[in-house]
This record gives sequence, C-alpha cells and structure tokens, in this order.
Amino acid sequence: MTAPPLAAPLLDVQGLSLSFATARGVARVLRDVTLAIPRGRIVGVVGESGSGKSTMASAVMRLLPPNLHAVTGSITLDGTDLLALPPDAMRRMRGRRVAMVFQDPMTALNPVFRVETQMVDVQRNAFPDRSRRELHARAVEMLRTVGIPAPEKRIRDYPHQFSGGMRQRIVIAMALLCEPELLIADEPTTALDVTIEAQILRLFEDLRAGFDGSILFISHSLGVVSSLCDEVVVMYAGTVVESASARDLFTNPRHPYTRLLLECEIGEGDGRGERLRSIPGGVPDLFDVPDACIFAGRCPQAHDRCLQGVPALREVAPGHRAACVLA
Amino acid sequence: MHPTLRYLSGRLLTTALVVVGAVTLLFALTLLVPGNPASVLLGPRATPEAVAALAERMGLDRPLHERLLMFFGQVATGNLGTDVISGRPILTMVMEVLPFTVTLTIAAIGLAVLVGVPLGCYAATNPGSRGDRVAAVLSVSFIAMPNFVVAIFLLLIFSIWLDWLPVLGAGEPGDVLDQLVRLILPSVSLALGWVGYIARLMRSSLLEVLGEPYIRTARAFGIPDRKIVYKYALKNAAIPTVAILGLGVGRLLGGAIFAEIIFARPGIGTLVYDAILTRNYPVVQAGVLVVVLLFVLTNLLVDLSYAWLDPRLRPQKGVA
Repeated sequence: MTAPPLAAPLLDVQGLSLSFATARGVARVLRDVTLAIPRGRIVGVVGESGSGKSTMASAVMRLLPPNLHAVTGSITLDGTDLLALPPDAMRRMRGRRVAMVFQDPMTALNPVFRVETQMVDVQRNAFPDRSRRELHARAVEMLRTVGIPAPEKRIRDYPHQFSGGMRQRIVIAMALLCEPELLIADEPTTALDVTIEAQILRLFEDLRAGFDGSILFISHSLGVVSSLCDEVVVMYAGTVVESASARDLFTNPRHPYTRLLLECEIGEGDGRGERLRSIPGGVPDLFDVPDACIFAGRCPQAHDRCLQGVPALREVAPGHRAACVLA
Repeated sequence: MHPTLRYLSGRLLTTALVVVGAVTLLFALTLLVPGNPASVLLGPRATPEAVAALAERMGLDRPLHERLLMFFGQVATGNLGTDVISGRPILTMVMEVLPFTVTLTIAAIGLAVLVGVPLGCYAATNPGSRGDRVAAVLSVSFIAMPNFVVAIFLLLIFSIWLDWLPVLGAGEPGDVLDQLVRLILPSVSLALGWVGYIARLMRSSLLEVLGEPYIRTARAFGIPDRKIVYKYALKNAAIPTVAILGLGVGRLLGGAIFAEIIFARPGIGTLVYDAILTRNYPVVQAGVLVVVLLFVLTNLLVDLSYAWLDPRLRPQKGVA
C-alpha cells in the first residue's frame, strides 16, 4: 500500500449510513455522515442526545451493538478502510492505531483487577516485545503525566479506590499509553461534576503539547468544544448539519440548528432568573425519516424548499460546510 | 485493629454462633425422638434394668441443662463418647469414614466445575448457536434428574451392561488406582446436576458481564477476545458461581448419602444411614455434626474467596 499524501486526513469518514434493527423496526441512526480529521488536529463533534455522535465513534472503533442492521459508506484511517478489515485485523488496530475514552469513568475500568494489571495489558497489543517491567514503568509515568499523585503507589490500587475524575484520568492514561494515531474521547466529562470537568478539559489541553496524534472529541456542549478543538462538526438526528473551524463556527454559524444551539448555551448559567432557552420540538423519528431537511420540523426559518429533498452538505465558505438551503 | 483482622474476627464469630446453634439443635434431636433413646436403642425386649443402666451411661438421667452442657463439652473436646453397639469411640468411627466422603465430595465438585464452567463459557461466547442450545437442553436435563436416579442408571449402564467399571465399594486400601476408578461413577452421579447448574449460571453471569462497559473498554484497547473472556470477564462472572458452590457443598454432602448407599461405599452417609436404622442416635449426632462443621467451614472459605474475587468487598481503610 502506498502512503497517502500528507495532505490526506488521518481519518476520513465518507457517506457513512448505519441502521439498527429494533423491535419497532429499522432505525436509521446515521445517514450520509461525512467528516475528516486532519493529522495532529482536535476535531469536536457536537450534538444533542440521539444525534448519532457516539454511534459514529463506535463505528470508527467497529464496536457496534449486535443489532446492527446495515452499514454503507467508508471509514478510512491512514489509508486503511476500517469497515473492510477482518475482525482480528480490526482488533489489532484498536489501542495502537485508534483508542477510545468513554463517557462514564465509573464503569469503564474493570472492578476486580488492579489499575496496574489493566494499564499493562492495554499496552501489550501496541508493544508486544516490551517486558512487563518496562510496561509497568511507562504506566507509572503516564499516571504522573495525567496528574495522579503518588502513581508508583496508587497503581497498585483497584478502580473503586479512585474518584470519578481520577478514574477518567486513568482511562485517558491507558489510551495515551498505546500512542494511538487517533484518540476518540466520547463525552469524557459528561458524567463528571463541573469542577472535575474543568480539570479534565485542562488535562486534554495540556496533553495537546505532548500528543502528536489526532483527537476526535465528542460533546453535547459547544462551550466545551470551543476552547479545545480546532474544528467542529455539528450533528443532528444522524446527519452532519455543519462543519467549520471552531472560530468560524462560533463567529459565523450558518445552519439554523447551530445558531439555536449557540443561543441555548449563551443563556446557560448567568444566574439572573432568565429561563434556560431550549429548541422547541423533539428529536425526529429515526424509524421514518422524511425525504426532506431533518431539522425542518423544528426550524424557525423553515419554508417549502426545505421539504424538497435532503439538503446536501456543501461548502458555504472556504473550509466551512453546512447542510441548509439557506446557508 | 487492622480492618482485615476485624473483618476476619467478625466472620469467625458468626461462624462460631452458627456452630453453637447447630450443636444445640443436634442435642434437641435426642429429646425429639419419641421414647427413651436408651430403650429405643436396646429394642423392645430389653429389661428395665438394662435400659436404666444404659440411660445412666448415656447421661439421660441428668437434668436437661446439665445434659446440654455435657454435650457442648463433648463437642468442644472432641470426645463424642463410646458407641454402645460396637464399644468403639464414636469420633474414631466418624474419622475412619470421613476421608471417603470428603474425597467423594471434592471429586464431585471438581468434576462439576471442570465441566460446568467451560460449558457455560462456551454457551456465553456463542449465544444462540447450536452448541448453546444443546448445552441448554443437557443442562436442564442434568438439573432435573435426581442424583439417586442418575446413580442407579450409571450403575446399570456402566457396571452391569457394559461391565466397564466396578460395581461396588471404595476400592482396596492402598490401591490408589482402584480407589480412583471406583470414585468415577459415584462422583459423576453426584456432579451431573451441578454441571448443569454451574453451566447455566456461568452462562448467564458471563453474558451479563460481557455487556458491561469495562469489557467494551478492554475491546477498545484491542485486548484479544480470549483474554477478555477468560481473564477480564471470568473473574467477575465467577462470583455468583462461587456463592452457589458454597451452598452446593452442603447439598453434595447430603446427596453423598444416596451415592454411598447405592455404590456401597463407606462414608458419613452410610454411617449415618446405618445409625438411623439401628436408632443409634449418638452416632447420628456425631455424623451430622461433622457434616455441619464441614459445611460451615466451606462457607467461611467461600466468604473469604469473595474478597479475593472482588476487591470492593474487602475491608477498606478509606477511599481516596
């Protein structure tokens, strides 16, 4: 295989559609999702619950639930089509090429094994030739890097002896130990309280300097993503509605959904009795997706053209794409 | 006090209380049987003098609380008295046959674990497959068959029709191979139901654990499936099985009576059975007492093994 040109993104998701078989029928959870993560960049994916952002991440990891109905499109990591890999080859990609940090640190670590055992085991795939002693030493150093005090002692502890924030640091350390090209962080701060969330975000910012891979950072909060990410992808009900550099997206949002999302967050937490803003209406039914703009039902600017076919994600300015006929 | 030490002493105290309760109940056994144990033992044609003499030797003429204390004293010192029929110390009689029962029970449990756990693991890692369904049918049939029925059928098939295995007895003393061969049918007949039990339990708890987020984490780091199942999931899934095994030892000790009678093996089961037939209550008491002690001891070990399997159950000094 020839090396892809340097300009090629590390991760390239093209036209990814994915559905699950459920008791109610087939849910079209992702529809024609296209996004790219350049090398060394942090890309944020933002959307509300049910927008398909976690499913997209699981698809990249090929860790999808067994009721998967159909997948089309392609997911290419550094020139390798992940969807075409045999299971064992995909397993070997995990950890050393692409690793993932999960939402809930309280359940992400195995409760009956020492942190040390788990941190050594995750490295075996990436570094099969290194001795246990070497892997142990790396694990202790990485715990120090992510801010666990007295790591040489704490590494002998079990997960339940750490707080939620500390556990998330441990999971992040495990991911970094594998030196993956792509690190996926699936809402790594959502399950934590606000002060711990700020600490973990600061940790990601600090890690940027020492980590030369790319990061796919999933969040339901534009605010979280804004400070951390170079580029932002906004997802809604299983599609990408807008993608741009973080600065462009915040200063000049083009999709009505992004604008509403920004307004919701600006209203957040000023504590002066103003009611929290929300977008009227609910997330659409993914069992019966209309051949129209998926946001039209909730969009304050919707008109006839929005109901005539699904709007394509098109470039509205250099590096700025939106899926809206008005953009 | 160190938390581990405090945990251990607390656990030992409850164990001791259970033993005291069991010993009291055993004592009550002699009060509950109709009639005077001495006359029951000597039969209807015994003279009143003989009955009175035996009653005195058994201490039946003393007040109740004194007899209870005496019984506790006997249990505590291990001096369980002399068998009135054979004139031998009861403790010696029990200790002679105890190894046979313990060997049989360990063999049965070992067999149940060695077959049941892999069967359950296979079923859990291939849910819905043909093998899983076959394992399910087999397991349920094994559970449904009473072990004395299994014992009789095994005896018929393998000893009488096929003539592959010896019929009766525990084997010649000193001939280990012979003893092992004669252990096969009794232990299989005891283990079969437990194979089914453990396989079903293992399957369901392993399936549950395999759906846990930390297993997903392990997959996300490329840890091989075999290692995920047999290292990361199995230790979590083993906890319910170990709990059941603790109870299982008690059931197996009870079930051993059938196997010992059917296969004419010496053991606590046959000893107690024969003693019941001759209304030899002191021997019954001693036999049951040993079974109770073994059961309590196993459950203590099971409780301690929880802490080994699950560090969250270990006594904590504090959480950082």
